[in-house]
Amino acid sequence: MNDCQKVREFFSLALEHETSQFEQKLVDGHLAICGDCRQEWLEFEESQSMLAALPRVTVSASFEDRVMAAMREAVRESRPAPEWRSTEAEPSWWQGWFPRLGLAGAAASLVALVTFGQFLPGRGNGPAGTAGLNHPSAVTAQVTPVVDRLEDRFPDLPPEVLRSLDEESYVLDRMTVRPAMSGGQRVVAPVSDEAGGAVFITF
Amino acid sequence: MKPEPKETPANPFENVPDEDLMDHCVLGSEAAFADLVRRYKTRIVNLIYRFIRDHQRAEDLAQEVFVRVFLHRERYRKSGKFSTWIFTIAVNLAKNEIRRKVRLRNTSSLEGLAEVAGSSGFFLKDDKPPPDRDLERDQLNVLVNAAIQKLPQRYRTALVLRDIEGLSYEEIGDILQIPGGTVRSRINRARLMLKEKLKPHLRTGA
Repeated sequence: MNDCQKVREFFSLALEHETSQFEQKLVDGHLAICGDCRQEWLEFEESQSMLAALPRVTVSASFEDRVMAAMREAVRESRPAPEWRSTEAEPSWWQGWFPRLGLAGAAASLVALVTFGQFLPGRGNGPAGTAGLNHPSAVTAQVTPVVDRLEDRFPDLPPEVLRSLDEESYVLDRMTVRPAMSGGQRVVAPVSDEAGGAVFITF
Repeated sequence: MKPEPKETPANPFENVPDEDLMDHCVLGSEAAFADLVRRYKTRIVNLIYRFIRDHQRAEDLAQEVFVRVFLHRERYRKSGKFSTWIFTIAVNLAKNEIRRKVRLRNTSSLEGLAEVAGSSGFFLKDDKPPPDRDLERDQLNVLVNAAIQKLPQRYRTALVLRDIEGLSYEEIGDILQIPGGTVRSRINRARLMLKEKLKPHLRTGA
C-alpha cells in the first residue's frame, strides 16, 4: 500500500476527528505534499456534506394509527384458536365416578336379571336368565363378598385377567369390576361361589 | 394564594429509556409501544427508504418492523440497546425487500418488470423532484440518492446506518455482525465510492 492509499484509509476518521495525533500528522503531512490526495480530500468532504444535507422523508400522519391497528390484528392472529370444548360441563370429582357407577348399575342389573330370572316360568332347564349370557356360573354369583385371593375364587379366569383384577379391580355391589382391559372391553366378574367364573361384558 | 396546579406530563413515558419501555411492552402496554413507534418511526421509515426509494413501501415495511417488535418483544434482551435491535429488524426486512425486487426484476414477465420500475423506481430511475421545491437542491438530493442506490449493498447498508441514521460504529457492528475494524474500513470505502459516483457533480471535482 503506497502512501496515498494509506492516507485515504484515514479519511473517514479524519473527517470525524477520530484520528490519533500520530495518524492526523500523517494525513496532514501527506496532504501538504500530494496534490492528488488533497483534491481527493476536498471531494470527500463535499460529498459528505451533500450526504449530510439529504432531507429526511416525512412519515404519513396516519402511520402511528396504522401501526397500532396492524399490531392489534397481528396479536389477534397470533393467539391460538380457542379449543372447542364439549358442551358438557367438566366433570367434578364425584362425577368422575359416574361411569363406574353406571357400570356398577349395569352389573347390578345383570345380577338382578340373573337372580330374579330364576323365578320366571318356562325358561327351560338352565337357570332362568342365563340363556343370553351362556355362562352357567354367572347365575350363582351373588353371595360371597370379594376375597383377597381372587384366583381361588375365579379358577377359570386367565392369569392375565386375574393379575389385572388384582391390580385395578374394585368391588361394587358384590361384583369386581375392572375398566377396559383392551379394545374397549370391560370385565365384570361376579364375586363367585365355589364354582367361580366370570362374565365378560362389552360396553 | 392558590397553589398552581401541577402540570401533569402529557406523555408518561417521555423520559423513560427505550429499554425500559420494552419492559412495559412485554407486560402488554400498548401506550409504551405507541411511544416507541413515535420515537422511531422517522428513523425506521428513512432507513428503509434509503434502501428501496419507495416511500409508501418504506412505510409498509416500517409498519411490519414495529409489528414484529411487539410480537417478538419477549425475545428482546435488555443487555443490548433497543435501537440496535430494531435497526437489525429493519435492515433485514429491507434486504429481503431488495432480494424480492431483484427476483422480480429478473423475471422475464413484463408484469414483474413493470412492478419494479413503476412502484419504486428501484435501481431503474431517479426520483422526480416535486415542482414546488428548489430545483437545484432537489436535483442534488436526487443525485445523492441515486449514488447511494448504486453502491453495492454491503457498503450502502454501512453508509446509511452511519451517515443517514448516525449510529455508532459499535452499533453498526452489532447490526451487521461484523467486527469494529471491518465496520470502519467498510464505511470509509463506501464514502470513497460515493464520492467517485458524485464526482461529476461536485464543485470541487477535478
